[in-house]
Amino acid sequence: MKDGLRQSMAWVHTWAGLLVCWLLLLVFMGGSAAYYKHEITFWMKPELHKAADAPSTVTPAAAATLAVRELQQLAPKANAWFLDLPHERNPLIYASWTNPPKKGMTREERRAAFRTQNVTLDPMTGEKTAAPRDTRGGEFLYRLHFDLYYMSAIWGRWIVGVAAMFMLVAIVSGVITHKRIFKDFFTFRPRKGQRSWLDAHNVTAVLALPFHLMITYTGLVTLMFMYMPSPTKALYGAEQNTMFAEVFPNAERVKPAKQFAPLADIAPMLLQAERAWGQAPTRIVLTHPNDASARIVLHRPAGQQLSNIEPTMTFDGASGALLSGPKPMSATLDARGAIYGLHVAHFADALLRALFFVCGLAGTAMVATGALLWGVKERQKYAKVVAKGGRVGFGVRLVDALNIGAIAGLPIAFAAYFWANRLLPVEMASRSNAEANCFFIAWGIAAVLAQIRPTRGMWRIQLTAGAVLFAGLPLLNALTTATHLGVTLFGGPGLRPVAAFDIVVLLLGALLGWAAWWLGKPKKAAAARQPARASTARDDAVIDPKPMEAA
Amino acid sequence: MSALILAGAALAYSGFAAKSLTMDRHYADIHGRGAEPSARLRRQLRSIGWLALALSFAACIAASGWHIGPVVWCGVLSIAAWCATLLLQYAPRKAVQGVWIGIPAVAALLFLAPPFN
Amino acid sequence: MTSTTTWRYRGDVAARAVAAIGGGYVLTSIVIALLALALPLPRADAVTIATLLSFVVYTCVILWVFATRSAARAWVGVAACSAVLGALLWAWQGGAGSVA
Repeated sequence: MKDGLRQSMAWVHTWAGLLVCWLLLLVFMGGSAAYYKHEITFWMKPELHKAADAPSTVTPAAAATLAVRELQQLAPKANAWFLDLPHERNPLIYASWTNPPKKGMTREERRAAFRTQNVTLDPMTGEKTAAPRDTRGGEFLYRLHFDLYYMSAIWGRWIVGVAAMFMLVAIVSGVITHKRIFKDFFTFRPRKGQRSWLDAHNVTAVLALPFHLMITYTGLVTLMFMYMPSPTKALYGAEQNTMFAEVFPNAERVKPAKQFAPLADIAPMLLQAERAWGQAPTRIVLTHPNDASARIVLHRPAGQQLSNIEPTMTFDGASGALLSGPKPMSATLDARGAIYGLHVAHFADALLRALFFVCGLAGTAMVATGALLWGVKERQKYAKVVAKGGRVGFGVRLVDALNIGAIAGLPIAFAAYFWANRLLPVEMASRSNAEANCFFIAWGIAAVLAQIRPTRGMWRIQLTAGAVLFAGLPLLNALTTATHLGVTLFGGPGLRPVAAFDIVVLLLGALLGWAAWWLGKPKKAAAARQPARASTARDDAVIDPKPMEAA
Repeated sequence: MSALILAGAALAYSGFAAKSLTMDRHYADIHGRGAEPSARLRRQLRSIGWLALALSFAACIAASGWHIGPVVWCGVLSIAAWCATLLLQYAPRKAVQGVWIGIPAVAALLFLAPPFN
Repeated sequence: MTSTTTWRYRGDVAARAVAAIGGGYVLTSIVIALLALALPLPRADAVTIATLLSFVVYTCVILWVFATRSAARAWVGVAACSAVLGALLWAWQGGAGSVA
């Protein structure tokens, strides 16, 4: 019975993984990049670099006052203002606003309008910075990994949700089927063909298992009420608004009084919050500014807790009086916030964020090695046929092509996005859409070429292209902007994200280049042509899932 | 903070290196094919391994608190395990000698952790 | 090897896949709705816990469908549990009058 379980779980693991692995590669790569979406956006807006370089000695209260003054001029009738004050991940003042929706505006039009409703201020001068080029920056990569693209967000979220559920099943079935999970814990034997791919898959999967399990489950939780609505229907029926108000008690909206009242001074509010929390707020939301029912909500900076719902202090916008602290949430709702928070990792400082990123890359490697392992194993079955001059089956060829297109092609797409950011004319219309299109055009070309010729040579071409494009980014940066590595490595802390970006892409390019080189080694070619002899019969039983017995 | 986390990482590596020696495969890599650790040595190494991992947890909690500390610890464990895996393959003797970094790491933990200073 | 290409095998896989993915979703929805109703907690907490556990339940159902001896068994299991628990859910909600 136990062996039957392991076999069936091996089958489930293979197919649950294989059917969605190429989409998961996009999700993992986009998600890993998303942990640095602010830094990526900053790199992609070189116009802001000069303002960020000057050391900022402006207090949060002064910065907030500057922002409010600017917003009073730009958007006095907005229904909400959003302030992001300078902090270690972003040295500038960022303010945006939403307008009451005009009748007849589609959601896409509103979103497009919202992208123009923002301003960046230099905290030292209080003036607007040079206008940054129209780009979605890291936000595009972040959204890509759950909304996908070229489709409504709901569709994208359902597709990714299904893939995430497949992934969860793949993880659990993988753990059940892994007979030697403890004995093989540290095992990595290179240059042994199929065995080595299995080892690589195990090492990237098992040694970061807490992360992979957490990121998959928490990812599903972020949209859980959409994916699994039956408890909500059972307890609340059609009263969605009541459910929302009870489960998210701090997201309540106040209706505008439609009566003018000047906004109270915001500086004392920040000082009050700083006294209460030991640190000043960095995120401020003002709803219905210049209205009698204006509310100013200060959010405590992230870093103290897991939940992404930070404690807040709400002030009356007209009188400046403190209205309330945050509504106390039950332990259950706090737990949900913590689970959500684990996925987005707002609390992560530089070191922890790097750990999340590395584990995300490990997840990418886990999926990639799994798909490659399947291809290698299936190819074994055709070894005799191929030796006689025949061809591999349709499945193997398809998987090979998809593997190239995703594992080697996606990095090309990511790099193309960054190249487009530097090369597309700043004044062009729909520039941010054009950058996104470049991502998909590059990916499309890579994927189609891979389908035409899914060979070892194609692997090397695409990996080399990815390596050149990634490693070339710091050079491109130097040629197109003034904030290249020579400047940013020795500049102020404000430019460190730019330097970090340049260094990370350089390293990723080196990694891709190494992979391309490794594939070209002649020894490898000889080993690949021989059927794998290294696995013992016992190993085969573990790693070669027998098809399930038909009833 | 970072020093404590580094100590936690060192302790995690130390623990994993110790535990790896309890496995026939890795023990044989050092002492020759077919060699196996004695039952007594296995017990000792296992205890040291678990102790080092527990101290690693303590270091991460000391660095980042009870909520975020465990998250840091999980990340640290993964990094340490990957290092151990690569070293055990490419430099098994050095990998195992790494058990000793647990000792200065414990000293750092005692010196830096809040209850002690 | 050849047994992987028989229609019987493919039928078995397809039957289990439908039972796991489709049937599993239905069964999971019923189970967690019942759980939400049964938990002696404020509504917001109950709905949150039940929804949080949904993915655990769904995973278990899917794995069971593929681990169990036959596709027929899988179908009987999922269908029977859904029927029984579904009736219970319907009675609970119908019996209680208004859903809210």
